[in-house]
Amino acid sequence: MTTLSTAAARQKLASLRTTDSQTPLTYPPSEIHALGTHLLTLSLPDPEHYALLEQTFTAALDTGNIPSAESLLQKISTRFPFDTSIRTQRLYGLLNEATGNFDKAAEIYETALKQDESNIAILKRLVAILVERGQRHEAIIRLKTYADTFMQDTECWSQLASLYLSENMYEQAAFCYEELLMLKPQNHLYYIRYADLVATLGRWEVAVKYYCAALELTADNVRALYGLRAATAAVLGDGGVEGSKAKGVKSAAVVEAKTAPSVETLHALHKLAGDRLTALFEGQGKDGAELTTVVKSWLQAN
Amino acid sequence: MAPTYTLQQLPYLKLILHAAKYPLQPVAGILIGIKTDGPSVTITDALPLFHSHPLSPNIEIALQQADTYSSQTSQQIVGVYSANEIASDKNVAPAIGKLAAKVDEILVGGSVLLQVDPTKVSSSDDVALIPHTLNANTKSWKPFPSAELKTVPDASSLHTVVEAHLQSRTYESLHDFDNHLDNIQSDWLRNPQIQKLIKA
Repeated sequence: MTTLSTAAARQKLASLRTTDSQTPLTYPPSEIHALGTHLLTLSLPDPEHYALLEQTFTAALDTGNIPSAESLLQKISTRFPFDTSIRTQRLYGLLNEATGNFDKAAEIYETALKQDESNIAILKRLVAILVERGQRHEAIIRLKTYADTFMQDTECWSQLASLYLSENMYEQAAFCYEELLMLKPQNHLYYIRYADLVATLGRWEVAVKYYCAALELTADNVRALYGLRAATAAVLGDGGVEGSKAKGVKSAAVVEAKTAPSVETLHALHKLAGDRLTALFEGQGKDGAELTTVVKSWLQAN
Repeated sequence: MAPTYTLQQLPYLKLILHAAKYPLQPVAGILIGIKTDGPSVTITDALPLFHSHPLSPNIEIALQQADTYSSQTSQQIVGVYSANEIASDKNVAPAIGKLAAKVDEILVGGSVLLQVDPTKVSSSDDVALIPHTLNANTKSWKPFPSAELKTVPDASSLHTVVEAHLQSRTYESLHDFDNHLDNIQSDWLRNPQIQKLIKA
């Protein structure tokens, strides 16, 4: 249990409120709840006080503390009544979702949409309900409809990709990552994930290119180095690019294959990945000795 | 003859902690142990792999490295564990089924797939698992009653230990292969921090 000063706590919670929704929450909800509960006992300015009520409410739901959530929601709705505030309606919806009353939550959201048909937060909750109920196909359909309108929304494409992956629909997941790459071309993680996806689909020569692109953005990224080593080994092992053509890979990939790197380049990339991985692991010194042994043995076989 | 399976405390604890550490993501890992004639399989350790959907080439890299590591102690990869994103979803995810089938092939039969059942974590007379074996004909994973899964110590003692570690958030020190790829100092093979905390 961390003990932060009041000023530090206010700052921490404020920064969490403004964090891009793309960044997964790594700060434990139990901490947020504890800090928020404490700060709510102080006389902070109204805007901050109500923001804290909402933030602590969500943290309460995340930790399964329904009584606390209910009491916090009560305070919010006294000031921002359910009937006039869509934001409050959404919080009631969340409370119902957390207690498993999905029908009631959906009803609240549908009614809210009648007042504001393009309310993004509400639209996303409707998708979330479908996911929570295990209705992934319906969730995918609804999310695709959302994407038609809000195609710049990276959270949408990430969530859609995740749903496709749960259904083993790798091609469709890869398409979502192509959208993400267009929206955020500086995000090396998207290149790596896309490379992993096309590698899973057997398109190793395409994967090589995307691992290289990731390494251009962040040199010595271990995921990309491992990926590059494995992908170049796969292409070379298949008898080079000719081999992957013979495997009956999709036609788009065959066209790509014609512009694939030469065997010499593949060997050079293969060696580079191996050298960099060895250097990084050996750089750990004694502490990482056991891991380094295992990695070197992997490199010898790949 | 159907194999008998024995699950020890360390792997059970590690896999539950792995699932607890990432409540919003699917998690998966490998089971290490010894397969003897019978056949009888004893699960002695668990190596946490992913808290994301498993993809190539990471699957192959993790499997090969886990294999190297386990053979250092004359053991083998004897199975897979998995926990789904949604607690009520007890099905074996297609990607997990395939990963586990690969493991079964390498072991030449007799592997086990342990699907975590989060709704049973608070139960003191059963483990929070649905064990499966591979049906050789249909190539699908079939569940068998968790009561047939022998545990050392018994389910009730395991439950006490698990509860204690969940309370003290021991899972915060657990590293999986995904963590290792993000920071190579994270030792997903030995997890020495966890060894220390569990012995305490």
